[in-house]
Amino acid sequence: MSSKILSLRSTVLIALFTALIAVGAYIAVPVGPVPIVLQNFFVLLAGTLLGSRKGLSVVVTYLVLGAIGLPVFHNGTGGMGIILGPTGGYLIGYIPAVVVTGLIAGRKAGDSKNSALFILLGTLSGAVVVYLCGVPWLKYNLDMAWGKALSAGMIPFLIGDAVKVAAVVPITRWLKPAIDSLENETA
Amino acid sequence: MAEAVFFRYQDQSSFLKKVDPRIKILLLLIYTIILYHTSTRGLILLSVFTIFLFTANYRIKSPGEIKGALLLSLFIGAAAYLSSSDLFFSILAVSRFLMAVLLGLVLIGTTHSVEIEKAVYWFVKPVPLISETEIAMRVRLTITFIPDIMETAAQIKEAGLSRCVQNVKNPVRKLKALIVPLLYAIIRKAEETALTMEARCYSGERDYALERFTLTDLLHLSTGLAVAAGTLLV
Repeated sequence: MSSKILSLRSTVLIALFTALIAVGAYIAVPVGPVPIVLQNFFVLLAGTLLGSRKGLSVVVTYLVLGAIGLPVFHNGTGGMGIILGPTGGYLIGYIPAVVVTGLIAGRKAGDSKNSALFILLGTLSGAVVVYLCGVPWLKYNLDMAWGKALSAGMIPFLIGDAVKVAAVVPITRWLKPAIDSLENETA
Repeated sequence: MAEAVFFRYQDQSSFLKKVDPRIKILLLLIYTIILYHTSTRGLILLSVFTIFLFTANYRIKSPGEIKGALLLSLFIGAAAYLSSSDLFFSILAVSRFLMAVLLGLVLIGTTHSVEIEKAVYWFVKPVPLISETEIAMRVRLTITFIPDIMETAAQIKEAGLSRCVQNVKNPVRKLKALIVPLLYAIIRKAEETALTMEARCYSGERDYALERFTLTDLLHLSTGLAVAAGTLLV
């Protein structure tokens, strides 16, 4: 009974984080001249709060939802055309990003005095992995030069990403105990 | 919040509600790929077909529902024009974006989350190493949660505005003012949902069977495929 309850709670949490990533496409926070969209922020947060395994489940479910055509990708789009299109690399990049973030940050968050450093390192690595997948995909998909691909697909978003990475650290430290107690609670 | 309205299944009867969810998902999958790889004439044909499907099957309940998409399409058009200096290219970019949004809305408006769950189960079942029950259940729960989270986010945003969060200079604090209450709300929601499911002795074992394909389903599928082929050939 207990393991079933744990699994049910995890499933609900995974579904809620998937919904958060989808909603992140619609929430814009005005930071500086360009508002930031919170999709990749929630991907990184899924890695730090839920760990690599559950984080992976979150991202896979999100991509399945988008692939079948539901409007959960950026700007309310959806479908395989987006995954195979110029920005598909960023979406595919969420898979290794959440795993890397979870592996580095997940275990250490909340139970070590170095936890903030691990969360920061994990989140930073996750953000880099998204670009490592997204920028080459963009370059080859649109047959761009490297400089143009970087200036169109990475440089404008760096400030927003720095804000997101900086915000993940305190948010994870505050919320990790609540998430852990929810998952470990027995009926 | 406008988005919260548009991500919901619609109650009124429509032709597409009678179409098997597997066929709808399969055709949508094909159309969203074609959308980005077809010629201009193909795009016009697909746009006409999509607008027909949208107007015949989706009821816009408030103008705000599609205001966001229209504003965003203007922004996409302007960005495409600035980067290419080609008006025709920017019109194509806007059309592709709008058609992708409309196709998604038609699916979500005419297919109940339980039907989507069953269809996802049917599609995922042949894939090895993946639990089709888990994926299907997560997909249904996510579809149910999305409008709720949108509403919660909108309420938190409004509450933040009344506390003048927009005047906060530090961007991290600005972000935290939205995210922390939202995530606490999510955790409460997770606990409530899990308790409700436990109280109903939910085990994940349920009937995922969809009806067998009928002749009408095959007719729907072949009509949809004919439109796809026509879009590619014109």
